[in-house]
Amino acid sequence: MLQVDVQAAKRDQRGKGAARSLRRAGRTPAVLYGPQIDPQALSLDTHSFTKALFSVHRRNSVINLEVSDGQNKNVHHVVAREIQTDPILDNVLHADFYVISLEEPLVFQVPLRYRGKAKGVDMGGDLVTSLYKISLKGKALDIPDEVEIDISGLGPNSQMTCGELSLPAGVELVQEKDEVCVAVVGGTE
Amino acid sequence: MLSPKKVTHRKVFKGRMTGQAYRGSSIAYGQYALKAVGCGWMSARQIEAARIAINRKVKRGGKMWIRVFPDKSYTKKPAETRMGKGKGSPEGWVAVIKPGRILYELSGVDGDLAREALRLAANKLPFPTKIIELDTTL
Repeated sequence: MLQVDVQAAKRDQRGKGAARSLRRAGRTPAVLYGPQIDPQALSLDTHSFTKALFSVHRRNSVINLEVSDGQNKNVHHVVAREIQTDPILDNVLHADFYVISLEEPLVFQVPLRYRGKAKGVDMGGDLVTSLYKISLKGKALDIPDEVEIDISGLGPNSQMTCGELSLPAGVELVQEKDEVCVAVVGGTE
Repeated sequence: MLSPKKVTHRKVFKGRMTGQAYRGSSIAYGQYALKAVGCGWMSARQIEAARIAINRKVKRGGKMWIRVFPDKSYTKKPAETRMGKGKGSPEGWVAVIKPGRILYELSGVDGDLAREALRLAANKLPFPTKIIELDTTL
């Protein structure tokens, strides 16, 4: 899984007035929470945070969040649970960071990428794609960015199920093994 | 033209368009999208006109999604009628659009062609819009 470094500072002021003045000053309000720590209000530099978000654009990633409170600096491994954006301007308004443990297995939604042209499509069949994402459980850094599936061997009236996917070591499938990912319907041999 | 199959009330109040569209404000299916930056009523005719404009430009290939549906009726009194005597009869259907709403999405076409098709569609609409891309939005 991708990793990205982000710097944040603790913030004392709460509420929408303080959040708006932070945004005017080029910073984004955020919150950090998780099972082991007390919730902390943070602020981030909007420009560098947006750049970091674009570097992992809509993919699963672990954010190494360096939180400074004047003297001390702590690094937390987090995932962005929610990124609020302005509906008109599409810029970041607020971020929710959830602290995770890199040693404990977690469930992630991983996109499926289909490669090649199915043999059955050349024989008159229709390609029916049922799944675009699958749920995988494993340690955050073991989870792949995407799962690639070669469908070139898929003949007429055949299908590929989740159980047939090749997954990296230490990663297990959460959903049913007999769930169909992609199928070729129709066509003749 | 798009219209509801069945409605609870044939005639409804005008309503007010305050705030922004938080739902339906991000790209869900395609690569390119047309987003409203102003508010207004988008009639079924305008939805259809913009759809035709996109399809004529794109010709074949690519896929388009219409993200709005005209589910609000509007009424009109007949010509040369005196005021009063109740509300007019239903005339057509509109979708209430708030700023931020995604109207159309496109995928499977070249970027320049998609932008040109969405520009032509935007010309049919009664409020300001902008073209956004999946790669450049969060």
